Amino acid sequence: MDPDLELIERFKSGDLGGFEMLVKKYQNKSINLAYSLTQDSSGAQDIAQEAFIKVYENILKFRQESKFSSWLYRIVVNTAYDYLRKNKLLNVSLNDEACPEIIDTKIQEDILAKELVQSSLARIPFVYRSALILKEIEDLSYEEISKTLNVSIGTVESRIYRARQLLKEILIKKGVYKNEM
Amino acid sequence: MKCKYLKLLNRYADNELKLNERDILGAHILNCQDCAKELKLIQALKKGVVNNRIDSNQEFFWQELKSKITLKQTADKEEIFTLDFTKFARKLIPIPVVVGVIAAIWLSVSVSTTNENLIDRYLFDNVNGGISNITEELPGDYSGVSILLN
Repeated sequence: MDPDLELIERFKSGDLGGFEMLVKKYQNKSINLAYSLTQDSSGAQDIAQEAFIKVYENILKFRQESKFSSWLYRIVVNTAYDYLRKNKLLNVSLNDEACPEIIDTKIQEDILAKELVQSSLARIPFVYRSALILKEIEDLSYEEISKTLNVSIGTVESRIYRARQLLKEILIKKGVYKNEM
Repeated sequence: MKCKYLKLLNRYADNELKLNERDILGAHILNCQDCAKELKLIQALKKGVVNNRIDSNQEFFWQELKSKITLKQTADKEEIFTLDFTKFARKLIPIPVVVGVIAAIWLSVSVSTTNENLIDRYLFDNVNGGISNITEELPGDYSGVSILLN
């Protein structure tokens, strides 16, 4: 039996220890997912906690048709979306100049440092960002992402493709990457 | 002209191709500068996105979560009480409205009946040559009635 399902069954039968173990198992993944989606470290903790509260309240609705992790990640993504919407951080322009400037004409892997990619990531629309982050942060397959986001595999593929194209456009604008094709 | 395989590079980098497709594309990338450059960018972006971890204190997170759940449950209980009271109050609201409507209907019917009685009595008295003084017998002003009839 899936160890997550065992913990869920324990929790459903009234054993809070089952829920505690689920939280401890997934808390860092959830926080990191929330952080990647929002770029807000203190907000990420709150989002993860809010997501676990929703799990606590709705565990009886979990029908075990998908993996617990897919269900949890969907809740984290939706909670992060609500957080960004409430704080009016959802529609950031791709032309926002807050992105760090790196003047270099040649692509270098080390130039595409964390800070630059992260700040660029925050500038792409949420639907593309969430698909890309589930791929890179949680290392989910396209099929698992499709279950998490409740969309088709083709949609996942096109969202990830679009996310990377938008990141590339930002890097070109910043002069970090030269498109010579 | 752009290489027709460029769109497949995301699936290649994400390990989403079948083994034979992967081999074919791998061989192609070795000979295609466009694809090699694009793949390098995708891999760099993958690194940049992944390079981002927060490790929180498990026990602290759990304790904080537990107290938030307790707080929420208390708030929900209070809300249930408030909601129940509101629902109860809402159920009571139609009662005075219905009573008011019934009273208004009753009043209008009763006033119009009284007016009709006054008119009938006036006509009866005048047709039969009676000299009945309606104002003495019935309260209310029927002067308007006589004006109307005259």
